[in-house]
Amino acid sequence: MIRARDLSVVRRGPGRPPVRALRGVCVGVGPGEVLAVLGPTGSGKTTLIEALAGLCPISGGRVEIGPEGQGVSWGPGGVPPAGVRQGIGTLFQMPERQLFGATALEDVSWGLGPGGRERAQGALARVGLGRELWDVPLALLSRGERRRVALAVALVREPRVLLLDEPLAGLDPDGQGLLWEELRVFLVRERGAVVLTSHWPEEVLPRAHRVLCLDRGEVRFDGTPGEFLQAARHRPGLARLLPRGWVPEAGDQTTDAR
Amino acid sequence: MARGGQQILRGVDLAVAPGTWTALVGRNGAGKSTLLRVLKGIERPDAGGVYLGSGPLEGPDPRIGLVLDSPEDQGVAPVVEDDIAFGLELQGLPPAEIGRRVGEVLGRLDIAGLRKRPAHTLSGGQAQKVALAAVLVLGARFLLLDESLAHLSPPERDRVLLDLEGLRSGGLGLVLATHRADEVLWADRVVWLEQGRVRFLGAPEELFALPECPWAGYGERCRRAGVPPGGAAFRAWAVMGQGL
Repeated sequence: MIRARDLSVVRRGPGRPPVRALRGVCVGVGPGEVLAVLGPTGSGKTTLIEALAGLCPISGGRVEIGPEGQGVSWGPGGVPPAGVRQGIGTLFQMPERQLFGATALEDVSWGLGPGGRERAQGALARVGLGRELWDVPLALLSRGERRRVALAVALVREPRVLLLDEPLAGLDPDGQGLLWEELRVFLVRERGAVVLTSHWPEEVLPRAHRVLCLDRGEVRFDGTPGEFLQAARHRPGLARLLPRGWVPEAGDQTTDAR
Repeated sequence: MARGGQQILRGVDLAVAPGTWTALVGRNGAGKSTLLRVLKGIERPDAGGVYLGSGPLEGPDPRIGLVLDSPEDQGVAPVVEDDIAFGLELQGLPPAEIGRRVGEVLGRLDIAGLRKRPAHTLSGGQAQKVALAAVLVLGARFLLLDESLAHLSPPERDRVLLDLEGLRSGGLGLVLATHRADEVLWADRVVWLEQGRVRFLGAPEELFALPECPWAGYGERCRRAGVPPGGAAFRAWAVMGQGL
């Protein structure tokens, strides 16, 4: 569905030498699958999301969306065609920043055309934002409520691919449950593909089909959640990604909750 | 407190003593951030008041530090060391003293390598640690943390929690808003806000024992795993390095 081959990204900014944020990353996620991207801060998780979304220029390799070998792809200097971008829903790490409408309903229905209001209402209901908040000025919503609005924006265009940067951070337990339920519907009914980043293996392992660990821009692990837990027993570099104050539920961890 | 005719906080009574750790939990929109902003003195309640020591809080006070979840919201200077030094410069400290204190706080949070970095090149977790440093360097006596650990990786978060415990045992009063049960464990007591009211106030293990609590049963899981169920016992266990 979406894959990157030998992907490299060099970040350039004023006042600092260029930084190779990703090097030689190979990654792919198919229809109905969740890919969880783990790694310490600064490891390249956000850059990967932005590169897959076509929002940051890549310096090497290719990104492809669609059936393998027959999809639309772009390489260094390229950008995804507008039609492809429509099929990608993106949630940024600070999603409350990606909103600009006066109200939740206005923001979600922006640019949808006729019938947009009804579709926006549907999306807001799906993410569990109370109806009484749809027409309240966005500035008066809490951060977590604004995150739900941003998720509704990502879902309302019925994307094929969802790229979510730390979607669980800042959501209350109910909100996390709703998000997973929404993703499950997206995966099963619409056969979409999901790439999401997290710092917390225990949050994503029960639901992910594949786990990718990044460290300093390179892939340190690529496999199933079960393989990740196996590998974490022997590789201290992976083990330190597991939170240590956390006590998992019996039967947590691998495949049962999918 | 009200927003758009809707009450955000209603009749909240809360006292935070030096050297204690309070966790603040509740659904998105329950009023957690608003309560912290009121405690910091940057929002005025419509009724009631905030008292620091013996006097009422008239406005923002450097003795109370607030750290947000999005560090970009509180950065002021383009380079890390200048950002951390900013508050000290406002206090009129001599440059050598400022440099020393900035170096000390960077070392304490294990981010000395970021000292000369432009702030816009930091990752989310790195930026959060810089924001924490900028508040700690002022010598705050109370620290309000608004989901401030949400974007840190597990080892970084554990390190910051241990740093916070060091500050608490040194006499700081902490209030940590969080959505994570394993962060609630660090607190002496928990305030559960619901629709702006205090729904529950008590020890972490009492919260986990409530059937309607989102983490019901977590205390039992901790007990079975031999993890102390919260407060001083948990912190002592964590500081001893068991499980960390």
